[in-house]
Amino acid sequence: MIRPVIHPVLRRFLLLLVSWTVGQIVPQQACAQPIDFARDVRPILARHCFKCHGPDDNARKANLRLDSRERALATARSGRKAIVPGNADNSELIQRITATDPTEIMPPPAAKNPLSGAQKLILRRWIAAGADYQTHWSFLRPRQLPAPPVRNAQWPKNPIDRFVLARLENSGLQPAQPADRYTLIRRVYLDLIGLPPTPAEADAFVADSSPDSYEKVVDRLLESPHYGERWARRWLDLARYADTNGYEKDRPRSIWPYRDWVIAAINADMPFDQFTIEQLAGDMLPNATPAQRIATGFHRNTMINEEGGIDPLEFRFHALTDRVGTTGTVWLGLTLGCVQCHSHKYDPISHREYYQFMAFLNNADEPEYEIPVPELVSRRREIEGEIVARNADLPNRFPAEPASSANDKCSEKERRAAHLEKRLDAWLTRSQPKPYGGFPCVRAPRPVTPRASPCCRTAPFWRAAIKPSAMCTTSRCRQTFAASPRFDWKSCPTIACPRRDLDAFITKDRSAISF
Amino acid sequence: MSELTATADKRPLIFQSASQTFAAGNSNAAAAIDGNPLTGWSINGGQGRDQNAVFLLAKPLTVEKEVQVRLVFERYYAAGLGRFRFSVTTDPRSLQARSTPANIEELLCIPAHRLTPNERDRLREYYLSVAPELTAVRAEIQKLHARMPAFPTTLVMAERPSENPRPTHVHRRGEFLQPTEVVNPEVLSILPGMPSDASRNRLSFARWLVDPANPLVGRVTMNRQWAAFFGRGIVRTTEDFGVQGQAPSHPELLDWLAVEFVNRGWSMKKMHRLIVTSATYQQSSQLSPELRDSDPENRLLARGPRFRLEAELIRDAALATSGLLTRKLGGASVFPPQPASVTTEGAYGGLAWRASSGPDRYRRGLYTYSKRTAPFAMFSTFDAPSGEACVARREASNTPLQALTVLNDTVFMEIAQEHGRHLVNNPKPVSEGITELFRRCLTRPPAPDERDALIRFFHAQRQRFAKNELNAATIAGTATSAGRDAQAAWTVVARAIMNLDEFCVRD
Repeated sequence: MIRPVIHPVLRRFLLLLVSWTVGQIVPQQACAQPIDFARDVRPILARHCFKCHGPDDNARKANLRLDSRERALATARSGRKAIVPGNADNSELIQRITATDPTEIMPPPAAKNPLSGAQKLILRRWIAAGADYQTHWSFLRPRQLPAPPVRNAQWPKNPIDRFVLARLENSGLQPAQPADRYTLIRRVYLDLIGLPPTPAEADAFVADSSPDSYEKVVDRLLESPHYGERWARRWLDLARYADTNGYEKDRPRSIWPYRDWVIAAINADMPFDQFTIEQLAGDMLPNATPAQRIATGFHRNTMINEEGGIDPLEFRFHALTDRVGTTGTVWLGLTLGCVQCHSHKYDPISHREYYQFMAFLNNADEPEYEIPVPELVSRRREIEGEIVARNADLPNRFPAEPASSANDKCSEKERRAAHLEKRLDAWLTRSQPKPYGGFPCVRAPRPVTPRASPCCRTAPFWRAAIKPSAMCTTSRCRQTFAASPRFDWKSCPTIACPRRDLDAFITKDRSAISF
Repeated sequence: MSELTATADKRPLIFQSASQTFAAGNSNAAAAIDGNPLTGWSINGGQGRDQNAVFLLAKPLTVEKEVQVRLVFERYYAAGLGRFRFSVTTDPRSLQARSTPANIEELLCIPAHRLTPNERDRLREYYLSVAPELTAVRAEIQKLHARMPAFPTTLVMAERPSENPRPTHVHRRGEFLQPTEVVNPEVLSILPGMPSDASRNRLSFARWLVDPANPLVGRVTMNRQWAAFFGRGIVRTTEDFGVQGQAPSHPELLDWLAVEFVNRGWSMKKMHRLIVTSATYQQSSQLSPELRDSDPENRLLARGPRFRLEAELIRDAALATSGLLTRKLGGASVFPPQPASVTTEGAYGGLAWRASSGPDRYRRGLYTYSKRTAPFAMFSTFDAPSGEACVARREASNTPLQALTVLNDTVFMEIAQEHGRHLVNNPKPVSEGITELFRRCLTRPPAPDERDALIRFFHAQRQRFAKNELNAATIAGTATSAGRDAQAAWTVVARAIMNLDEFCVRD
């Protein structure tokens, strides 16, 4: 056993430490190893200091920020420095955490979050050693180190085991015996497909003495369709999948095709990057398939409030904060939810950044998608064809005029056609405005221009509000408007009929009108 | 639409009357100019067809500088208009709303003798769709429309056109009502940035998340997989890798897995295979007294993992043991039996829970209809989430309700009865029946003392049924009178075995 080397200066601290910390866990590394910022220091700063001296601009006290080395080393307004690397005694931080005056001591007694003696010692040692900062481990790109050497070289089956065994050997431990065959097959069935093996399947495995008997079972289970079901359920926890909208009305919704998409994607072993992209933005992929659109249900699983009296836009905002928080949890392992209201107390994420992050997700409409299931498409096409055919046949179903002396030379077909034309004329007469037909015209019609130019039908006072594309149905007028914004609408060759003015402007696109 | 108002040069305009092509009950167009936000015009029942309303001003409007029209969709009166257009006219006559389509009205403005043959054809075509002579014929065509099968629907995202973006604001204190400055999409500064030429949209964002340069995504994802196989993650806080999260117990292993995941083409199956074929995974879960003291949480992995199954898997496993499980994949959610009161009493948006019959009664748990405010009772009892928020780590509680559920819940009762039916229909010595039942439920053969205890239990229960201490018909479900007592006794034995800790635990 290697004796820890203790710096002579620290010996008296050590003695004190032992008496202070009865019943507390003493971090072994406090004295035995060099101080590691990430392991030893940041947890202390995060738990006891960052709330007031951390990343949140609004909560910061005394303009002191301890999560950034540059800021922690700066000279404060008081002229003092919180941290003087290599000189703990001159560091205001050490003076304040060791102060006895309750108005001086940090954290303030009111916070009821005092530092232990061991923690104070760690901070002192850290500053004395130069107050090194490190980026939090998870924000650094992972590196694949070679699996460590182990003494029991027989045990590992793959690199995972070497990492685990090295750690066990360092702790003086041995791995356990392999599980018995019945336990193992039950375990791997439940883990991979979520169903237990039948007695026959278990017996076959137990009786199989080939060296790869276990791997054969694993490969078979990975190909089972039940694998997708078992692992989809875990993903659906993250996706907050449900069949109702939530809140007070909690009405049903149809989003089970998304659940089936997850099962199918997992069964097909869709690579996780693609699995991610399709769920977050499948609709934006070039030539998006129906499946890729269905995948975007991931963020449509947010709740919808349909209670009377609420503001739907407010709950849309809540859905977006849910999307931001869920994206943070699922892909980044970050608690972004905190940052909705203020900069993060512990992680270096600002309030503003949260909304910049949200902006990525805030530009989608949220429709209900009709899935073009091939069998239904062809069935519908059949029926539509039938409807078109029957509509085309309507003239042939029109009742023929009874035979009379006036039409006794005509076939039934001719009498039918004649009857239809007669009734059509009667209807036109009833339906057309005077002077062509039924109801009176108040204003005398203007001369009729050729029908080729049905055109601008915009009342003058609307001009300012409308885009040219919204006003005219013919390119001729659009061009005229483009040429001169002061286009005189009276010169527009409107057709005489007063009813023409009814559709004074037609907008095919709602966004063309700015109200 | 609850209200329509207009001003000309800021002076309010007065509407005199209104007409519409369709109104739901009293919710006619006039209700949209009555000044009452609690009423309005609704076309509920007439959706999917062209509808219009005409609003007439009391006085014709002379030329004004600015006219503002407000269409108010009040939150107290929910009736939206779908895709609408808005027209004004200079015609001073009183117009009534008519359902003749605009293109037909245009043609009607042409003197009949000037109509081209094509225009007359179009008018004839329209006339055929309204001619009273053809009412009966058209009704047949309507029936065809009704037979048109509907497509299943699902909720999706559809990106708005880039020229019409929705602005995003910073919200002071996170409050909806306190938007401040407008911000553009940008990724977190603590993480590697996006390529500068990438459009700042949702697709680039998704690609950025799974860029191998992102230090978090591989670790977070692999940690969740590890947690699924070992009961807890290498980072215990699977939902928090930030400064407040727990440090990894095996940081080098986590990084190795994260990089390996990317190297193996982000293949989940390959990573799962790697994990379950490791010696670490295949260890026995036997706990020695020394380990219990030195590493009670098994952070060092000196033994195999042992933990309770998730709610849905307890159901699935029970159904599978009895052969009742329906192995169909996918489809609309189903309604396995549960007390009706779960979704009707004290639950929002009361839902009559009509239990599925036939194969849908015995589908896997993930197909069970999930109602957020009243989740499926058996799942809640075993700590399943309600689907209201993202859950990265389920708890595993132990409560007496769980034992009572597995004993008495309708589904588990039916599973036990199915076991009883099977054993009576395939008669064999009691000892063999016990072994079969035990192995169906727990996979391993029973130890001799376990088998003997269950045999004694079987006989004791059968006697109670024979003596009518218990009602065999109630317990056994459908049964022929000949084997009824035995069937009921087998049912009770199955309930006992399914209530063993071993049944709900993955060892």
